[in-house]
Amino acid sequence: MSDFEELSEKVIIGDFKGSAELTVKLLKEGKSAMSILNEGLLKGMSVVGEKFKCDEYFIPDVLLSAKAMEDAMTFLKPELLKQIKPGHEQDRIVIGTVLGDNHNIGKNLVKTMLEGAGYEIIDLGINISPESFVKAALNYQPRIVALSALLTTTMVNMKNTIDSLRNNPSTKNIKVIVGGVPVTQEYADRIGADGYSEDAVDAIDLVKNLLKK
Amino acid sequence: MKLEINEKNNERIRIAEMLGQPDKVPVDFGLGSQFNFLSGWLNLDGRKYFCDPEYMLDAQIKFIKRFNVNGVLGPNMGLAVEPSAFGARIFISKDQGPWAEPKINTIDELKNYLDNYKEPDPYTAGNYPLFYSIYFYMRERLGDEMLPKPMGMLGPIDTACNVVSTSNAMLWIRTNPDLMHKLLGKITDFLLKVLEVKVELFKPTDNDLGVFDDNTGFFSEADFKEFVIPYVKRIYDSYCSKDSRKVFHSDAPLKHVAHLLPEMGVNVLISFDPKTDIAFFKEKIGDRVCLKGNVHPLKIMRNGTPVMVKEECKRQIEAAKKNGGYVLTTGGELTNGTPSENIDAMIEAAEEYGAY
Repeated sequence: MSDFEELSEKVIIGDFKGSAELTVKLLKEGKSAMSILNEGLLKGMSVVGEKFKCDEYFIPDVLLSAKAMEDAMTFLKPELLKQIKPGHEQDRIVIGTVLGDNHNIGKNLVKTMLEGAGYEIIDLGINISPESFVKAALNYQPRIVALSALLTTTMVNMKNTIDSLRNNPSTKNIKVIVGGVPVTQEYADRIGADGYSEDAVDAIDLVKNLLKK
Repeated sequence: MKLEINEKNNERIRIAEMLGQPDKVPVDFGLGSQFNFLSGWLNLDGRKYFCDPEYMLDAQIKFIKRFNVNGVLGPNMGLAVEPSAFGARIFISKDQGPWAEPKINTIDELKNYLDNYKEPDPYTAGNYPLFYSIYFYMRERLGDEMLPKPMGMLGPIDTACNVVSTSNAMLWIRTNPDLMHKLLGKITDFLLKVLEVKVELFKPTDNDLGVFDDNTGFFSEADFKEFVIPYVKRIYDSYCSKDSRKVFHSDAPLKHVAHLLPEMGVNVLISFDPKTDIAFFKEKIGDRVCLKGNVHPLKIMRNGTPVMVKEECKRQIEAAKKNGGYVLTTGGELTNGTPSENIDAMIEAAEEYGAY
């Protein structure tokens, strides 16, 4: 097993101490931060995502693996930031759970994955009103606003948030992506979202593709 | 005041809950018609609904009168009660049901909390006084016999999730299982004390009990066995008798743990997992557990047409009514914006297709 495969495996099984230690070791050995991220951590999380989709993994498993990635990222992030050339600052994404919803699992997983993929994440937290999303969008000028909801009762606030962003001339062109257990592609299309991600791993490709446009 | 209720439908529900076969499939919105739906339907203010018993009761009565089927009737506080007893700060706003800000955010805070734990007073902790006073007001208005005894409770896992946050609870059962067991044990001890107080105050004539524990469906089978069953079973075993209705609710995925529900003591499963076909549950546990569900509250009830609602209800009735033990309702509470016509369509479907 290669070092990167071993690192992936530690993420998959949620060995958070092991993943952090191995990341430090690989950095000391001169391995590039990007390869540690892509070949080790993200590959591991991709496997976790697949296991979650086929009901082999459940939320606690995913969170444990996410912790393994987050703890490794503590050491990796400073190295990744060194590699950003001037003028190529990180694309910024504002993320939050919508009004009335205090769930943060999905949001935190997406945040972990997108930070790992090199994006700057502004996490507004939970129970965020449409007005607060607009305020944050005006303040931080993100490329994307990401909305999370876990309840059928709160996902209606995704539309309210999108409408609020679209009604403001300064935020109307910011792309909005949505996700969460009750959310579907069909729902996302209906409420005018620019993208929908079924899980945290898919969010990386979604964001990459949206920002190319 | 006298409230006309659909006694025939209620009788059918009682028969079905005991795994019997009534003359027709009943419809039940006893869990479904909560603030989330009522707020949009009646343009309610959440701040008044959750604090003004007259306002709450009037809204509940309007639903029952309009649809001539049972609905939520009683102190309906959502998440505002059990987590509040453990110090979670509860927020109530105009447009949303109550939600809890976790009290505990790190594992060190949890350790400290448990080391210094003092059991809350089941009479006075958090929003329990408000809950009791709402019940007494409603009993004064409706009479003791008309008002169901509110013996239902938020389950140990959901209570824990609102005290430490859901993501922490789900992570800590893996990283710090001993601490989570300690927390769940203390929550369960307290919930049993609350039941004693409720018996004293409400004087129920049976030992039926509802445990509402949504987040349990997000656990693997192994975690469900370790962190859910012991605590919920202890609640049922401590309070219920052999003939009691032991009601359980989770609208999270339950397919993978459905076979464990009878072992946990459940004999009525209400408003559950709308993503899994009710036929699966009927085959798996339908001989031991009354199934009350599970039409999708959003995809079908809110976003569908009356024709779609009727078709789906017909399909579910045909899949689940055999040998009784089945009640038609939604897989989760009715959501804000559900058209009245769709609720009518569900009731009509039971009438048209539900005869045995």
